[in-house]
Amino acid sequence: MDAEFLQTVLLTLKLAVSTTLILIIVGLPIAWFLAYSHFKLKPVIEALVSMPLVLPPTVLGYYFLIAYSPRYFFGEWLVRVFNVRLAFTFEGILIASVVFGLPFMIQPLQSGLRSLPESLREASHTLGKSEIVTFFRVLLPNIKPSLITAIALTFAHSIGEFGIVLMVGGNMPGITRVASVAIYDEVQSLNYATANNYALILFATSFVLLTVIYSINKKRNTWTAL
Amino acid sequence: MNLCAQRVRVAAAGNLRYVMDDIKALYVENHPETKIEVTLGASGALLQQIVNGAQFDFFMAADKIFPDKLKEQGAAVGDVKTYAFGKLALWSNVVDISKGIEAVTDDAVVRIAVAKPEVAPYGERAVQCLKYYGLFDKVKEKIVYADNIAQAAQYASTGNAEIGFLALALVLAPDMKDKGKYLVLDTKSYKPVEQACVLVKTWERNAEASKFMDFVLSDACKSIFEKYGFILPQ
Repeated sequence: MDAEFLQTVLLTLKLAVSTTLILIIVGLPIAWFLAYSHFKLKPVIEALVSMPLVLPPTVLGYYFLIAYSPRYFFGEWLVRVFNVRLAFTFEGILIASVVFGLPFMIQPLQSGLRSLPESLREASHTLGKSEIVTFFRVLLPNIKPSLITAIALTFAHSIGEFGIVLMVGGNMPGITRVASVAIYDEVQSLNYATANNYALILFATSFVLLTVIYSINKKRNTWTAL
Repeated sequence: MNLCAQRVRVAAAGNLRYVMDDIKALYVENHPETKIEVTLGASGALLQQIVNGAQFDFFMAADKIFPDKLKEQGAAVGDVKTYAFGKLALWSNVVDISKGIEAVTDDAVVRIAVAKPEVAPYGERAVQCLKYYGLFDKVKEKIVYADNIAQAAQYASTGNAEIGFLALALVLAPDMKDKGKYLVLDTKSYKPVEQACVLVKTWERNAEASKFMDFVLSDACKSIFEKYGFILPQ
């Protein structure tokens, strides 16, 4: 296995793991908020969170390219204040990947929380526990299957990202050339053997990971009545 | 005489985007029942698709080597004909390129958009041009390789690349012309872009495709090619 191949595979894993970790941190509060708050504009937020499910990746990629561009407001601000250009960088595709993975993390968590009986939360409050303690000690442990599903989906989805990474990443070897883009590239260059190797690795990794995750999930089957 | 509508599926190189609009409009004026369907892409990518069975009738590439390869593989019908010679141009809407290609070495230029040389002839010429002027090694870290000439144009026009090496034919189009400045590069700095076309061997002989090919090579289209900066073969 040559160096470039390994580099590409590691880069793909780096993107997927980073995206998933960031989304766990960002997604839990948003999911909690969407599950328990009541306010008029909630459907709008829910729709925004779900947009990446519906929008073609190339549309999102295109808008990110515009957003990152130093010619327009956001990109220009980034250059001026942080001297940072996001297009064609790992950070650039990471941000795009996080936004694109939002619904995959948030939706399972949100529906998991909603399916818990309200009495659980109320009981915790009457015992004097704060919202945060309630969330981490009572709610979260009870939605482990949803959490595991959310993580699995987000990770798997991130490994397979193509359109958005290609648009915003610029196919830079070692930086933004993830396995899905490399496969496309190798096929275009008629290197079918290499393309096949990448494809097999992706397939095997995703399959093994998901199988492991769903077996853990099975053990914690929480269909107990409360 | 044919009673059913004729269809010609054209695989055309990315730089022909605007040229094809004009040619199509002109052809359909005289052949209203014909549908011309154009798919744009990098010449190398299109060749690959055709070789793998994509259903095209006519292949207009940005370099003669691609239709030649198609013919070698026995997947073409008739002769490969050169329809125009293209030109390479520098384009920017961010930095001043009037002083010439040295502008790529400016600190203000962080990224240079070049189409992938393996599949896009204009990308290959861009690299040749930079090497000719001894600038390639100096700026190669700045180059971002786009999938095809259209994506290179997109990187340049959104400002994500301060400078782009584009086909003159794209730069002269209404969409790009007023949005930035361009500089035609000296033709001696790169191998001429000999754009050629050939009919694809399909299951059924498409007579209309033959007619369309003849039309593209005829005097009627010469003014269209010239409008977009092409030089016509003698």
